[in-house]
Amino acid sequence: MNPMGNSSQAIQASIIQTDKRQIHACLTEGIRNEINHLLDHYPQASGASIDALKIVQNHYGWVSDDAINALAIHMQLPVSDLESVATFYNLIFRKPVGKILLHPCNGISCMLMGYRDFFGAIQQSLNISDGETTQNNHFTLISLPCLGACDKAPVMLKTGSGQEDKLFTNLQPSMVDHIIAELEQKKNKPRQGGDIK
Amino acid sequence: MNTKQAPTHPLTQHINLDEPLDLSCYKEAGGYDGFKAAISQPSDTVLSILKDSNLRGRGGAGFPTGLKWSFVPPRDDSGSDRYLVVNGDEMEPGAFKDRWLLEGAPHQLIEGLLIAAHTISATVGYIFLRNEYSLAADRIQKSLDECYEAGLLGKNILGSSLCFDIHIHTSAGRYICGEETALINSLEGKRANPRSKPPFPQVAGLWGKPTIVNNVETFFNLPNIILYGAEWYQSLGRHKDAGTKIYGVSGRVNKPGLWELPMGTPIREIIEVHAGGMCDGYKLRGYQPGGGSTDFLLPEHLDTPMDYNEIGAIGSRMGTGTIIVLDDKNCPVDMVLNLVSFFAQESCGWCTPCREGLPSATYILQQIENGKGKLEDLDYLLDIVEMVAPGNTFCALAPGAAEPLQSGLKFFRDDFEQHIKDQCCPYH
Repeated sequence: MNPMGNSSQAIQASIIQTDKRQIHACLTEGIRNEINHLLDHYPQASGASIDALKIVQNHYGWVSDDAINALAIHMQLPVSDLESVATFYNLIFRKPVGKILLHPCNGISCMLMGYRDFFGAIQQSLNISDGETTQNNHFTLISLPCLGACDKAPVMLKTGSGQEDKLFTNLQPSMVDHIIAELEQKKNKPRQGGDIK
Repeated sequence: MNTKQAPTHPLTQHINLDEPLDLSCYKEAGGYDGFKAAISQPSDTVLSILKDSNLRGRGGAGFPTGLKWSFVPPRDDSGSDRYLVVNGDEMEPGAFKDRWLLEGAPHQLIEGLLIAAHTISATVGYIFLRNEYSLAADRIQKSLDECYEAGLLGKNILGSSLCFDIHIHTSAGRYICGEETALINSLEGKRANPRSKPPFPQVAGLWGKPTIVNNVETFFNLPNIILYGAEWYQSLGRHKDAGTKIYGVSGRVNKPGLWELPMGTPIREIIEVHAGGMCDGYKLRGYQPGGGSTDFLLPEHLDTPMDYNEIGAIGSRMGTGTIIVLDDKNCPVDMVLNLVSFFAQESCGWCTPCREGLPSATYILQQIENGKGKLEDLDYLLDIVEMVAPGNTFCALAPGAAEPLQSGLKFFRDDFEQHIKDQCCPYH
């Protein structure tokens, strides 16, 4: 016999209803399928947390509070666990970022080979500092440590949701304007998902 | 024993960066013969070959691989999972060797994993890749798909009792994920804080089950060791350590790059012959032999063979084997500052000496570099080195950060003092 009375059942049902709506608002069927596929790779759902956050980010560009709540319900994990993971890993973005992410490498080999001059030039060209996004939301600049291409230093990685990754190598400050112009031309490639509400 | 001509470059013989060999081409070139040889022998025999080969882990610590594997408890009848993990979270400053292998010959990695799976009766393997290595992830996934289709992965592989699956896990940043137990936490979907040992992962690792974590290059060594034997493998080294090694050089040299060379090749030969020596107008001040977390060495150490014991004996570590060259036009204080601030940023914050010590060291180094240093700062930096020494921290991150700091203070003391005396950086 169900210990809950009829009114509790009604409340429970309405909570479930809200949960479903929340999930559907953030996690499209495509996203849910991608996550469900990865859940098979791990004996416990928590193993897919990072993958799931990245899948959401790949669609929306970043991970909102609503998305974390929806993921927690879908994966049956505590919100706090997902939040704890999302804030630990520096490539999970908890704030909106630009369409294109530029990651100049500030690792030691790039520094020795002139990262600083290149970085100064790109900051000036975009008129933003490290960690900032241009006003038109086209570019976000985030330096990353050693990108593992030290023989071609200095280097910079271009990423972004729905964007092909590209590694720019043997960089010189004089190359900045050309790179930005080239990326401006290509940035209008459509994204996989819409903007998150 | 295989009668075919043994390769001179067992790690890179199949490398093709433009388009890695697909399954049929890899097989045609002798690929998966090592796995077939392994699976036709009892796992104890394979483990003995590995132990006799004296293969040492290529991630940096140089722990004997066969010995590490022998700690995995014997298989019981419970049928519970046992895991293999490839550490492909290459983020050591100045290290770029694993990317080459991962992008160039993904089938050799899978073959290494299969040999390991047979040896320790593993059921699932995870290839842990850093987020930025997306090309490697795509290429490995393609190779995995080919293997599943050909019956080289999945249930009853090649008609044997071996059942083994491999999944790719791409990370989301953080250098600490390269630490064995932090990586295991990360795979479980947690923050990548290191675990205290014991228990060791070989006994209780991923989800509490026996787990072996090895570097990419370590797995690449396995197929040929099994095919051509321990004696052949030992004979490849030029000094005491066995096999070949991927060495690399970055910095102001004429031809920065990576080469597979006999273990024990002298540092001078790597820098002057393979990397083409210093660029015109630049002199060699010093170098880190094996990535950002290894102690500086000087030109006077150039004739030392690059192997684990020899580099250890002169006060540094072979680490990843990727040499970072400091020239005479770059500021040593600035170099140490870059390295220490990297480690401060990448600290997981779990234990106090690392979380508090490294940002303090970064601040002091910044002050010195910006011309605001005091002589007593140098003593304080040495105190921090002592505070984060091995044994005071959960893992090797902070002790690794201390290596360039302590050796920088030892070898480039005059530079530090000049910054303080002149209240400016003489290089900028």
